Amino acid sequence: MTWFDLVTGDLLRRGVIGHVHAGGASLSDITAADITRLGGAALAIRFDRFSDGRGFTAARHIREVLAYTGTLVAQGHVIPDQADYLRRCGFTHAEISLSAAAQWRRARALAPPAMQRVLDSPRARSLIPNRRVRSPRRRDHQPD
Amino acid sequence: MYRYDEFDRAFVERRAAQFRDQVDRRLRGELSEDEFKPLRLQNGLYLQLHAYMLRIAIPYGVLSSGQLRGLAGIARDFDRDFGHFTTRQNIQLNWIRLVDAPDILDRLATFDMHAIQTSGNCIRNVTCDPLAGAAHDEIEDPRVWAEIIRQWSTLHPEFAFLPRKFKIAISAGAEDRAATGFHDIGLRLVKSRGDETGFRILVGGGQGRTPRVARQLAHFVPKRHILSYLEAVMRIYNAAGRRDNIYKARIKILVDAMGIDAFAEAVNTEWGLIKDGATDLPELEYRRIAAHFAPPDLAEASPVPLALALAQRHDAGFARWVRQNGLPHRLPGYANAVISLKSAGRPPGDASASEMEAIADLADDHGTGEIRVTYQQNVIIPHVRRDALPALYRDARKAGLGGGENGLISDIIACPGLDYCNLANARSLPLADRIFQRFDDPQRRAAIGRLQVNISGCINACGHHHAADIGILGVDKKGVEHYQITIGGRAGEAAAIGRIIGPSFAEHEVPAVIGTIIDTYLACREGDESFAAYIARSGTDGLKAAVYDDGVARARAS
Amino acid sequence: MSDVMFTANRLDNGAVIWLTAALRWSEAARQAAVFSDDGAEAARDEVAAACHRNFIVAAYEVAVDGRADTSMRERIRAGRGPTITPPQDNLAPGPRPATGD
Repeated sequence: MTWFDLVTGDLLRRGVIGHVHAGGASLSDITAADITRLGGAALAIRFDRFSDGRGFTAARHIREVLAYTGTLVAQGHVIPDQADYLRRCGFTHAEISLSAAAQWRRARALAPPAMQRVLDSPRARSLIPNRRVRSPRRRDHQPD
Repeated sequence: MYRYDEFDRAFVERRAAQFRDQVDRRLRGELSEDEFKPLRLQNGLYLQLHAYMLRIAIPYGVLSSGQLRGLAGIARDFDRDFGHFTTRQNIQLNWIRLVDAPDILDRLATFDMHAIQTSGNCIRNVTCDPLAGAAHDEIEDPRVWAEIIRQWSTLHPEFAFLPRKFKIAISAGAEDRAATGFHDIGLRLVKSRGDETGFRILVGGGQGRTPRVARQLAHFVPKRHILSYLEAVMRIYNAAGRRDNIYKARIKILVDAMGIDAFAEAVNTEWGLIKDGATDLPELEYRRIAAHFAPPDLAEASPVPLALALAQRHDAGFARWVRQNGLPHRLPGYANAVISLKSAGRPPGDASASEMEAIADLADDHGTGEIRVTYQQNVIIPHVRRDALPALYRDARKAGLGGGENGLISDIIACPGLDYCNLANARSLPLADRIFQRFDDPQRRAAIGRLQVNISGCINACGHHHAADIGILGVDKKGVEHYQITIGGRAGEAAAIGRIIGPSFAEHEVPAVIGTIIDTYLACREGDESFAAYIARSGTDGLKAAVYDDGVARARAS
Repeated sequence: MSDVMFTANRLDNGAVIWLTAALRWSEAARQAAVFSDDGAEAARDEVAAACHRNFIVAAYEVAVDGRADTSMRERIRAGRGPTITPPQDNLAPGPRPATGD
C-alpha cells in the first residue's frame, strides 16, 4: 500500500498514522484532544465501503470545526473516482495499492471542475471565508 | 432560461469525458460492477427489465425548443424513436447500450444537457412549478432558486454517497404545482411579515413503502441563506441517515426516528456554524443567475380576443381544450398551453421523436421557444398569446397532440411498470389505457371534472399513487397481477395520502371498479363539487359499499 | 433441488440473455435451458465466469417447475419488450405544417 497525494498525484511511502476515525463513527468521537495527541503523525478516516459517504462529512468536520491542518488520509475501500471528492473535502492522501496508482492519477486528471464552494473551488467568487475554517481572512479574489 | 457559460459547458464536457473513461475501465474489468454501479447511476444509466435506461436531466422541467429537437435526435440515433417524460420532469430512453452512453453524453453536452445525478444516492433533479415565471399566483420565479440549488448540489463532494436518493422541489405559487409535500425537502417561497422573501421548509415527504406528507422544518429561512440551510440538512442526513436497510434510508425515516423537533434543532445547530460563510451565494453570483430568468418581453395582448371567442363558439372540441388546457398566465392576454401526452394507445408521458419535434415547433411558432415538463407527465408551452390559442390547437391536432385531458380522469399518471421496470409487481400501462378508453367520452370526462388517477406498478410508488384522488397500486397475488385501490390522496398545498379501500382486484376488474366509483360519486355529489371535495365531505364508506358490497361491480367484470 | 434457468443482461449493451444447454449465452428465450442438480452447478460456474470476464451483469436464477412455466415478469422479459405499443415516429419528409391562418 502507498499514499496517493490527492493534490499533486505523487506517490509517497506510508507515514505514521496516529489516529483512525471510522467513517461511520459519531463526529463527537473525535476531539481536539485527539488532534493534539497526534504530534506529527497523520490522521486517517476509514471507509468500510466506498459508497458510505460519512467519511466525507467527517473530513470536513475535522478540517472546519476541529481546525486540523495536518495530513488526512482516506483508508479502506475508496475508489479512484472519488479522488477529487476526497481532496475537496479536505483529505490530503488516499491509501491505495501501488497497482491502482495509474487509475488514481487518471481519475484525478479527469475530474470536472468544481461547481460549488466547499473548502476551495474554482467557481468561488465569495470574499467571505467559511466561518468554520479558522484561517486568516483571505483578501484575494478566488480565481475562476 | 438559464444559459450555459463557458464554465458550464466545460463542466458537462469534462463530466462526459470522465464517464467515458469509467465505461472503458468497466468494460476492461478495471472497475467491478459494484464499484461502477453508483458511477453509472449518477450519470443516469439504470439497468431495467429489457435494457439500460438513460434518464436525462431536464433541470426543473425547462427545455428550449432546440434542446427538445436534440432529444428527438438522440431518441432516433440511439434508441427506439421515443422518450418518456417522468414525474420528476426528466426524460427517459429505454433501450440504451452502455457502449453508446459516452457518445450520448457527448452529444447531450453539445446542447447543454446531461444526465448528471438523475439516479443514485445523491441529490436528484430539483423540480419546480412548471408554470414558474409564467404563473398568475407566484411571489417570484422559483426557477432562479432551482438553478442555484442545482449548481450547489451538482457533484457536491460531501453528498455524493448519501444513504439514499434525495429529492427537492420548489414552489412559489399560491397553488403548489410542484408537489412539495411529497419530497424529501419541499421549499415554498413565502413573504415574511416584514415583506422579506424567504423559504418555508418542509422535510420528510415521500411516496414508497412508507408514504409521508412532509412536515414543517422551518417556517422562514431568508432566501440568501437557503444554501447553507440545505447544507446543514444534508450534513445531518448524511451523517445520521440509516445505511443498514435501503427501505429505511430516506430522510423521512430519520425525521420519524429523531422527532421533528430534535431534527430541527440539530439542523439549526449546524446551520449556526455555517451560515454567513462561503456556502451562501454572494450577491453578484445571485444576480448573475437571476438575470437569466428575467421575464420575456411579451407584447400587450387582449385578454378576450375576438378570434378566440369565435373559435370557441365554432368548435366545441377547441372550447373544451381551452377550458382544460389553457392555464392562466401572469398577464391577462396570455395563457400557458398544456400539451397532453395522454391519448388512446399512448403510454402516459410518452412522445415519439416526431412528436417531440412537433412540440418544439409549437413552442417556436406560438410561444417563446420554451417548453416545460410537468409532474403529471405532460408538457406546457408557456407564454402563448390568447389570440394564438386557436392556431396552436390546430397545429397540435395536426400532430396528434390536441387532446384536452389536463386535470381530468383521462390525465393519468403512470409509472412504466412491469412492461419496463425490474422492480415492478404488475403492469401499469395496459391498465392506464383501459381506464383511458373507458372514459373516452369528452362530455362525460368534463362532467366528472378534476380527478387525478395515478397508477404505480409496485410499492415504490413511482406513479405517485398515494397522492391521487384514485390511486392504483399493482401487487403480485400468486403470480397474477392484482391492483389495490386508494382514495383521497392529494399532491398540492393540502397534501394527503390516499387510503386503501379494501382487497385488491384482478386487472380485468379494475376498469369496472373505477366505473363504480365514478358512478357513485356522480350520484352522490352535491352540486358540482369535485371528487376530492366529495370524499372530504362524505368519506369513503359509500364508495367501499358500492365497490365491495354491490355485486354489480363483480358481475359487470365477469 | 428445483429446476432453474439462468438469465442476465449483457454488460455492453444491456440485452437480456439466457444460458443455453451448451453453457453459452443466447438472446433467444426459447434457447434457455432448464438445469437441475449437477448441471445447475456447472451452470453456476459459467455464470460466475461470465461475470468475471465482464460479459454479463445482473445475473439471477429463475425457478421453473419443469414445464418452464414462468411468471409475468419473465414472460415480458422473454418477449424482449413491453406489452403495449410505444408512440410511433413519423419521419414525414417535406416542410413543417403551415402556421398562421
